[in-house]
Amino acid sequence: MPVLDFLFILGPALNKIMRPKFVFALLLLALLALGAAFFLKQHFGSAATPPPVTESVTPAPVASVAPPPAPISAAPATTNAPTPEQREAAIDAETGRLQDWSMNEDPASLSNILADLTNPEKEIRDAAIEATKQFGSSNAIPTLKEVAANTTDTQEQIDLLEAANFLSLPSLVVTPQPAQTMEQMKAAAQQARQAHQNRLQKGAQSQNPSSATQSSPDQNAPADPNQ
Amino acid sequence: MKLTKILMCALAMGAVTFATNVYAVPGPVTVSGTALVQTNNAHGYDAVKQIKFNQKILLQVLAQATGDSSITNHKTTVYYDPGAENYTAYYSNEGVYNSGSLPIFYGEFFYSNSVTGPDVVYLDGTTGDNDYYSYIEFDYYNRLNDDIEGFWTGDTGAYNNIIAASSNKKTVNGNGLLYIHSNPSYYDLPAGNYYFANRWDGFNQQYAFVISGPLKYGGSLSGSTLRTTGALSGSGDGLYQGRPVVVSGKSSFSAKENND
Repeated sequence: MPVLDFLFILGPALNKIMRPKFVFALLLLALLALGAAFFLKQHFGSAATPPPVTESVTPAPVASVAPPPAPISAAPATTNAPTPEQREAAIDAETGRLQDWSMNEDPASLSNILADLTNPEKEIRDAAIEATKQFGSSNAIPTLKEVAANTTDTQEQIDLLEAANFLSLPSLVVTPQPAQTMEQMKAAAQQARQAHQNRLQKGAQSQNPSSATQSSPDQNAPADPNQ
Repeated sequence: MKLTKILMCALAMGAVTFATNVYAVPGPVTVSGTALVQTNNAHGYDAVKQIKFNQKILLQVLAQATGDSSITNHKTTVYYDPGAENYTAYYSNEGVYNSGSLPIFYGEFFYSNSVTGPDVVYLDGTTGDNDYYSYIEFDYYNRLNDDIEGFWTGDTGAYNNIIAASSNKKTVNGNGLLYIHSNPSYYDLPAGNYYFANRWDGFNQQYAFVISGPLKYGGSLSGSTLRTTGALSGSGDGLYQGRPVVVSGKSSFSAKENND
């Protein structure tokens, strides 16, 4: 807004001093210069922050070759310490790589993730712990326990051991189910909603599921996919 | 005189546009946790089995629920944009626009991979009959922006938020609920629909995971970049192959906004 105000005040004054044709030419030149600057900024200024879609489009996990973790803070101190913005950007980049590795299946990716468990940056170490869980390999357990034994941060120790315990568990298995159309699922939902409404209207709803009417299926019975 | 004014106005508007190049970049959302499954031991007594799930399992559930096998056949990232207004729900039959009950709310989930290319695929939408559906919802009151996220409602959702702030950082401690489900018609858990994720009263679906509990989210400004992060932990009901389970897990999300 101040820019606008300034120009509106300046405009009449300029008209009095200079000829309108000269003012017109001057403004046209300024507009062109601004346009050029805007064009350059659009094409070169925002290259560091691409939209999420382009970031996410990556090759298939099996084919990917994981590059090693970036030595963010492991590098020896230099005369030019990174600015907070640079440090933040480096952490962002490494956590992004960790998320990428965590979705792979190859040993190189796991190795990179485990290397970041001892990164000097806490944010990266936390992201690495989560990445081990997402990677899902029990091969990470010995390293997680070893790092836990050598850390002094109690919460981090808990997180590391919790991750080790997590990886020792059997995994949930998603079994193929008979495909249902959207209409079938919608019909099942409507049927269940109607049954629920009927129960509410009859005032027969109970706090105890075991005392529910026969419309309540057995808690442990597998779901009927056709229902 | 008039022409001069118009030109100056155009120039000023150009200057303002040039100075404020703001755009948000939603980040990935990840999930991990465990589920307790009812089983029997060798003597026939009730026993408990603990199993784990993570993002890869979530993708398998979504692939099966949506029928899009590219979710598991190609590296897929699921994104959560807490700042996106959900007009899909609003304009559906269930939305207020069509005299339904769903108000305009914030929060959208979508995924992308090498098959979707530059496009994203939303994890909610409307059927050919304009009925709303959804596979994942994140319900909480966003105190950072005073926004209703997902199907949060003051009647059944936690409202309190405890805030810590500094010159360039704000952290909000509240409660939230994440609900992932294979039957897209079973959405809007907070509206008294908690039985969607268990087998109460005849409701059932193949997979459901509820993580309800403490939610810490916030924003930090570094230079011209505003980073938003969120971390949810908690427990809830769930369904695994149509059988009831007790879920315990975590979820995290992040987003960035540049003000160049």
